[in-house]
Amino acid sequence: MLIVVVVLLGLVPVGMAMADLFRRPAEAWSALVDPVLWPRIGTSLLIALLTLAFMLPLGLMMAWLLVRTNLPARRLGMMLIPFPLFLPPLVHVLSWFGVIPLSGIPAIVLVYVIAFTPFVVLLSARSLEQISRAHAETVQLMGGKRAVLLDDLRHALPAATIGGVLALVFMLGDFAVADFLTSVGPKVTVYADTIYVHHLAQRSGAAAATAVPGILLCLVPLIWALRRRRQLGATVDPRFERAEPLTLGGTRWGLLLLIVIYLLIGTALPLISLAWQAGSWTTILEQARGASDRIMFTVLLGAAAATGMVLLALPLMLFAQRLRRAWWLDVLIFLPLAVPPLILGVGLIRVWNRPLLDAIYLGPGVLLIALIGRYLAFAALPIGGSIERLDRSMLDAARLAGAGRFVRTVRITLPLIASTVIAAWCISFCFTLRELDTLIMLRAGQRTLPFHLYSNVVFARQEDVAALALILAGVTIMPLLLYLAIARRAIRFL
Amino acid sequence: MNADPLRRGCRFASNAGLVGTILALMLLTGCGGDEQEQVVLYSSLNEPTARPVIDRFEEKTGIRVIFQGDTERDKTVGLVQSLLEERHRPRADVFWNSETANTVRLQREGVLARLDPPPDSAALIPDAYVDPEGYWFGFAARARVLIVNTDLVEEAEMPNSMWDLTDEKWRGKAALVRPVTGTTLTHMTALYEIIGEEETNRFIQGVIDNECHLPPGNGRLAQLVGQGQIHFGFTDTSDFRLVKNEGYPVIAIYPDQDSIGTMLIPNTVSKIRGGPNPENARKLINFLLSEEAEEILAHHPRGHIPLKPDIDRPEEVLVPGDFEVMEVDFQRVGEQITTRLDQFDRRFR
Repeated sequence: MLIVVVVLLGLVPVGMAMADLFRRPAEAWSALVDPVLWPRIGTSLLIALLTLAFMLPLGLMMAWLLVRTNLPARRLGMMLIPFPLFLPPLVHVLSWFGVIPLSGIPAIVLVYVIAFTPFVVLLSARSLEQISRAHAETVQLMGGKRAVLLDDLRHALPAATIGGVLALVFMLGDFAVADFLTSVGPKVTVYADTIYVHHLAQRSGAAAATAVPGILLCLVPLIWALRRRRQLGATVDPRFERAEPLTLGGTRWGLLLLIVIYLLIGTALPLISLAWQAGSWTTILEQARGASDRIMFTVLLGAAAATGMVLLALPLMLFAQRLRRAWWLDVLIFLPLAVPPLILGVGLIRVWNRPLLDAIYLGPGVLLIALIGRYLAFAALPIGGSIERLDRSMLDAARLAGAGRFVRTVRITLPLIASTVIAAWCISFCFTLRELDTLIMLRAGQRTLPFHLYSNVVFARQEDVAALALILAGVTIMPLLLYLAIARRAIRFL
Repeated sequence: MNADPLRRGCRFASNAGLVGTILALMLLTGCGGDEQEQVVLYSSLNEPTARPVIDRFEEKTGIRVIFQGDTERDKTVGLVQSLLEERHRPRADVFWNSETANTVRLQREGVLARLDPPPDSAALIPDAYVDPEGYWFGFAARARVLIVNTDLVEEAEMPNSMWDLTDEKWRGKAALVRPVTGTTLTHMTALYEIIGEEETNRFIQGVIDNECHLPPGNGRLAQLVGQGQIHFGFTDTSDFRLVKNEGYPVIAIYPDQDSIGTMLIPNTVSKIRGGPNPENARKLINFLLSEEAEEILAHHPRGHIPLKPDIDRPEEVLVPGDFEVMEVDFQRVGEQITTRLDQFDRRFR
C-alpha cells in the first residue's frame, strides 16, 4: 500500500512525462545523438567534477574534524554546518555576486562548493559517528594513525558519495547559476540549457530523452553508495561506545579557523550582504507585510509537505527493514528528485488535470503531491539511517518478552529515533521552500514566496529583492534554528 | 482480527497522514466556496507590471481575475508548457504574452481560439499588430533599443546601429541577450525577414567574433550597463526605463533610424480554445485592448508604448512616428521561431 502511495505521488507523474520517449521515438533519438548535447553534458560534468573535487575533501575533512577529533566548539560547528545548504544557490549568487569579481566556471564551482558541501559533511559525519571505540582502538593498534585515517575514510566514503550525488542532482538540473554568473565574459551553456531549449521548442520527446543521461548519471553512483552504506551500516555493535576523539595538538585552532571561514562565507556573508542591500529594517518589514499572505501560505505548505513526507517515510523505512535488498526502494524514492523539475511538472499536469480532480489540481493539493513526491528522499534518508542503526538487542528483548511489532515500533523505535524524525522534518521543510520550477507550472504555485521573489528579481527595486531574499532565507532556516534551540544537537541526515 | 501489528501501525500512520493532509488542505485553501464570477489569465508579464491593469478591470466589471504568471528566470517556458499540456482540458481563458512568438506557436498548436467578431476595442490597432485571422491582438509595445552607459561612452562615439555590436572598437564591451527566448529571440528571428539570411548570419557571426557579452535577460543586461560592467547593449524600452528610474547614467538610442528602423514588439492577447469562462475572457480581452489599459501601461514605470493613436502618456514614452519602426510580419516570424531557436542555441554556445 505504501509503495503504491510512493508510486502515485512521484513515479506516475515521472512515467507520464517520460512516456514521450516512446510516443515520439524519432524526436527522442535525434535529441540523444544531437552533437550539441554531449559537449554540454561534458561541461556540466566538468563543473560537477570540479565541485566534487573540492567539495568531497573539504566536506570529509570538516566531518572528520567535527566528529573524530578534539576540535574546539565542534558541537556548535556541527549544529551550524547545515546552514549554507538551506540558502538556494541563486540566493548565494544574488548576495555576493558583485562583491567578488569572479565569473565563469570558477565562480559557478565556488557557489556550488559553498552551497552543497554540507551534504557531504552531514552524511559523512553520521557515518563517522558510528565508529565504535573498540573498532577504532583495534585499527590504531594494527596500523597506527594512518590506518585510522584510512579506515575512517572507508567508513565515510559511501555516505559522502550519497552527499555528492544529492549535490549532483541539483547541479545537473540547474542552469540559472551558470547563466547568471556568465552574464559578463565567455558564456557557459550547460546540460540543463539543452533540456530547457527542447521545452522552449515544444519537443517533449526530446526533453524526456535529454533528461535520461542526467538521471543515469545520478542513479548509478547512488545505487553503488546506497548498497555500500547498507553493507557498512548493517553491523552495529549492541554495546556501542563511540570512539574517543583523536588529539589534534596545536593545529586544531588553525583547523577551527577553516570551518569558521566556511561558515562565514556560506552563511554570514550572504545574510549580511542581503541585509546591507535591503538597506533598512523598514524595507524588510514592508516587504514582509506585503508578502504576508504568501509567507503564511508557503510556511503552511512547507509544513504540510514535510509532515506528509515524514509520515510516509516512517512506515516506508520500517518496511524497508524487512527487505533483503532495500536499496531499490531508496532508488524509487530518489528517482523523482533526479528528474528535471519541468518534466515532473508536465507529468503532474497529465496525471491531475482531470474531471473530478479540480479540487486537487487547482488548489494546493497538487503542490503537496509534487513536493512530497519530489523530496521524499530527504525524509527517508535520515529516518531510514536511524532505523538501521538501532540497537537490535533491545528490539529482540522486547520481542522475546511478547511485544508485537506495533508495540515495539511505538514504544522503542519511535522514541529512539524521535530526534531524527524531527530533523528529517526540518530538512524536508527547508527543501520544499527552495522549489520553484515544478510549482511554477501549477496555479497554486504562484502563491508561494519563492515565486514572488523570483518574479520580482530584475523588475523590482534591488533593495526590495534583497529584502525578499532575506525573508525567504529566514523562513527557510527558522525550523532549523528552533530545532537547534530545543534539541541542542546537530541534525542527523542519514 | 489478528492483523500484523506493523500493518496496523502503517495504517495508523497513513490515516494520520491523510487527516493531516486534509487539515492542511483546509487551512491552505481557506473555507467555503467562491461564487464570484471569474476569468483565468495566464500571463508571461510579471505580476507587478500587469497588476494595475488587472485591478482596474476587476474594479470596473466585478469579475475576479485569477492570475498565473511566470518569472524572468523561467522565461515563459513553464507557462507555455502548462498551456500546451492543458490543451485537452484547458484551465486558462486568456493568454497575455509579453511578445509575439510564443503566441503564434500556440496558435499553430491549436491552443488558441479565433475571436470572431474581433473585440470592439481592437478597431484602432494598426494592422501590423493584429493577426489577420483574429487569433491574437497586439497592444502596449516595447521597442528594442540600445541602452548606453553615458559615463563610459562619449557623446561623439554613441552607437546608433545594431551593427555597432560587431564594430571592432567595441570588442568585449557590448552585449546581447543569448537569443533563445523572449524579445531577443523574436528580434533576431525578425532580422532574417528584414535583412535576409546572409546579412543576419553576418551580424550574428560579428556579435560572436566581437566577444559580445550574453547576459541571461534584458533586465539583467540593462542593470549591467547601468552598473558600468558593459558599455552598451540591446534591451527593451521597459527594462531601460527601470534602470533609468533607479538613477543609473544611461540613455536609450533607437537604432537604425536611417535604414531598417527600430524593432517594436507588442504584448499580445489571445483567447484559449475551450477555456472555462468564454464570456468573461472576451470581456477581459476587450479591456486589455482598450485605450484605458494602454494608458495605464504607458504610465507604468516600465512605460509601455501605446499602439493606438492619441493615448495619454509620459513625454519620455516615445511612440511610432517619434521614431522609425521596423516593418515586421509577426506571423512569419512566429512560424520560423523554432528553427531559428535551434540555430541560435548552436551558435551562441
